[in-house]
Amino acid sequence: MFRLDDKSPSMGWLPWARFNLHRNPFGELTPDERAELAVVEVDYLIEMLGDPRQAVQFIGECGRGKTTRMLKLRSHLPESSYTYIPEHLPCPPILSGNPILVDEAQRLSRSARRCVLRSRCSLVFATHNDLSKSLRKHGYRVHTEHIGESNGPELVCELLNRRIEASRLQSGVIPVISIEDAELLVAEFGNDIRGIENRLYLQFQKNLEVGFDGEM
Amino acid sequence: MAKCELSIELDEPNRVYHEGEKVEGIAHVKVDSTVKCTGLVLSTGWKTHGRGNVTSGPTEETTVFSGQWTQGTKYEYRFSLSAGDWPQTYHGQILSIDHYVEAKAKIPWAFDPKTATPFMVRVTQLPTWHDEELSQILKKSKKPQIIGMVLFAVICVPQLRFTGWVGVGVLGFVGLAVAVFWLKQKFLPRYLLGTPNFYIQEDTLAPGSELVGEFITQTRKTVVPNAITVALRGTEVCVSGSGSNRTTHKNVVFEEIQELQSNTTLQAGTENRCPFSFQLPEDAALSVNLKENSLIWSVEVEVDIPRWPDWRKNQSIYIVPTNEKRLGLGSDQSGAGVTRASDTLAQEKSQASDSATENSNSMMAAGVTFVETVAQIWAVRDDRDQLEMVVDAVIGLSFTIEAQVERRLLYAGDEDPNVYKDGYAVWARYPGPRLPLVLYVPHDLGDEFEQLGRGAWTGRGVVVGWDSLHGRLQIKLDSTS
Repeated sequence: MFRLDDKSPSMGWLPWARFNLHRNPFGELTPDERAELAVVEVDYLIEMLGDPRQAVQFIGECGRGKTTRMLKLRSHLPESSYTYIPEHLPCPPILSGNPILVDEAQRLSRSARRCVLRSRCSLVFATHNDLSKSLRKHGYRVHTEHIGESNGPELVCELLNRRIEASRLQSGVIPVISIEDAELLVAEFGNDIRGIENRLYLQFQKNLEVGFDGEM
Repeated sequence: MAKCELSIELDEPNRVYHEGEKVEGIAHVKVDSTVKCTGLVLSTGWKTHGRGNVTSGPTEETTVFSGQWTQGTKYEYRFSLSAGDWPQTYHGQILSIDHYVEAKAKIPWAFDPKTATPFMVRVTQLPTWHDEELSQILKKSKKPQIIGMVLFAVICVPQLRFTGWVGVGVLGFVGLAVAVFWLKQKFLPRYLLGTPNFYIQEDTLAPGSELVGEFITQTRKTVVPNAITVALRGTEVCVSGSGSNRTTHKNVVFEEIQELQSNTTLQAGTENRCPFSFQLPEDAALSVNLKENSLIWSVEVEVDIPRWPDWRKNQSIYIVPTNEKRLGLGSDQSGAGVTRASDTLAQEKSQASDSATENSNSMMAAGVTFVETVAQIWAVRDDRDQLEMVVDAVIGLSFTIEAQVERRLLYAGDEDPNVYKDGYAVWARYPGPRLPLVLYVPHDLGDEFEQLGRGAWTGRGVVVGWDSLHGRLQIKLDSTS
């Protein structure tokens, strides 16, 4: 699945150096790295969110890219505020911003939801449930995106290769995921990007353990 | 957009660095068009990677250049930065820790290009603040039970008023399940084995040293256990995600199991002693607790009793650098050494508490200013106990507050008692040191804050507490009316 044409000679103490990488590319990332490596187009959303009566909601299952989109938007919009609503009470404080980004918005308590909907600021919700009814009731125009539907082999291939590139140790050749590999992964995991990353993390570690060199 | 390529060349990329040593090398910069850089920042620090949420810490930072880079020119900047004293470089299955030299160029109106190169750190002694980390491990092991009981009492009991008999039934069922669990796990094994326990001579050990312990019991009845086993384990524990996506990953990196007794009779009324010892591997990974990434060593004793619930007990041990053992953590061979690490910690904690108490008392006596309060809180902001003590000492005191406003809170959180009726809360910072604050603004100051935007504000307020979730000093501003 991973192919490499030559190997890096230095830093033998670093297990991933033989693939010219400084870490397993499929491990957890910081929020900033997630935003930086996201393969998502947000320019049209940023333009849309210039209108304070505009709301955008991302609907989808876990691991499909809702939070990644939120983080990408946050990185492009310095005036925005981002709040993750945890599963259990209490509902955390929500900062004003332009726009206001709320992750897991279906968990907002009634009073918190009222504050957000009355803020007169543009809104971005990542949610498992459709919240368009309450948004429209408060005068918002709603743009809904169902996340995960576009997670095809091309996109999977691009985002996995971006992650490998971000783990590069030095100039030279690094492993690549081919479109055929991506097709196989999509056939097995569907649009569950997190599932694909978890599988590749374990596979990469396993290949290190058996002392694999070159093509995996 | 101008392209700015950064790279780092270490003088000795394969060298093993120790605490206090300098990492030296050259940062290379190449730009394809003339560009203004407001700061080329070089830094050292550590970062976890693997399956857990990333945790990182800084070591040293320096700005080596600011100015203009000219098209087509290659620039080189020599650096010499501290290697860091903790944690040690570690490469595991689900957890890895690496130290890096990072270069970041601050370019106005563009994404800041950056690059990082890892280097290897091996520590020979624990940093002075490390005991704090061990004390956190000890605290953590006790907290969940207490928190669980308090949460149960606070959440469930008041619900009974609304749920009636159904609630009582559910509560009864839960209570029964807990009782059965306790009976099976705790009461029944102890009923048969009497007072089983095990002791470890030293719970702080160096790689390659010998772990010595003993299982002791005096049974009520004569018991012939299937087996008495003791296991030494090193486990990587990482937490990824948050909220409903939170997942804990575990991976055992070392496991050795010894069978102490097989088909041996434990005579009723007689003290039975089963000594055990393990040789720790020379390359055993050091114990670390880096927020959501830990490497935990433990000893578990299990007594397999035929047709009866088994007895088990687990105890953490700490693997520390070899020199640390020689330098002073001591090698107490007596039984008192069993809890030595915790005793040392307790003593140090007590000294720290005394110092914090002295400070807070003197604050009360001297009539402190807000500047002094901020400085004191800033100094202890990473030590929760001391922080709470200092904040407790200033709660209710009125000060002239100086703050740089950041953001208004749309919603201050469920049932925040500090928010004024028709008022709101804002996040702000003290100008220097930049201590984060929450200001509770009364209705009559609302317009003033609206007009202020993100400017500086000065006025009177009373300290009402500490927001531990966001690390902010809570201040209720005085109403003018």
